[in-house]
Amino acid sequence: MKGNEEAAQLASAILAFRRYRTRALSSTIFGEPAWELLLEVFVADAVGAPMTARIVADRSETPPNVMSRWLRHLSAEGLVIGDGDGNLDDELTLSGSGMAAIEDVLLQARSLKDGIVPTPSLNSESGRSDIR
Amino acid sequence: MNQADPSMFASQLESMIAFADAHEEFVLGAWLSQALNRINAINGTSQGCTSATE
Repeated sequence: MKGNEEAAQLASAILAFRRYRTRALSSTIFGEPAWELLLEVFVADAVGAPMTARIVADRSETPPNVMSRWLRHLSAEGLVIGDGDGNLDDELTLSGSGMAAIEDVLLQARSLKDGIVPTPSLNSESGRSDIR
Repeated sequence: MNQADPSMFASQLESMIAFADAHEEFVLGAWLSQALNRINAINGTSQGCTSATE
C-alpha cells in the first residue's frame, strides 16, 4: 500500500460501510466493538486526530459498559495503548504491534478488493436475468 | 423443570460480570455485559452500569 494515507482511506471506507449496513438493516444483528475501535484509532492515528473509546462507542452504538471491557482486552493484548484501565475518555493510540497488525489486515483487504472483477450483472437489467 | 425467574437474571449476570472482571476475562465480561443490557431492556430497567470504567 502507498503508505498510511491510503490505508487510512481504506479503513475509513470499511467503517463507512459498517455504518451503512446498520442503517440499511439493523444494528442489533451486527457487532464487533473491538474491530470498530481498532479501525477508528488507526484512522485517528493516521490523520493526527485524538480518539477515545467513548467516541467509538457513540459512533458504533456500543454500550459503554461493553466498550470499556473490549478496551481493557485490547490493552491487555498490547494492541492499544491507553491507561489500561478501560477508561473510555482516555486518548488512545495503537501500539507498534497493533499498527502492524491492522496494516497487514488492510493490505489483505485491498488485495482482495483489487482482485474483484466488475460484472455488469450487478447493475444492469439484462444482467439480473442471468442470476436466476 | 422449574420456571425461571427473570427478576433474578440481571443480578446473576452482574455476579458473572464481576467474576469475569476479577479474573481479567474482559471478552467474557463484554459479552455478559451485552447480555445484561438486553435483559435490562426487556425488563424495562436502565442499561446496566456495571462499570469496568465508565
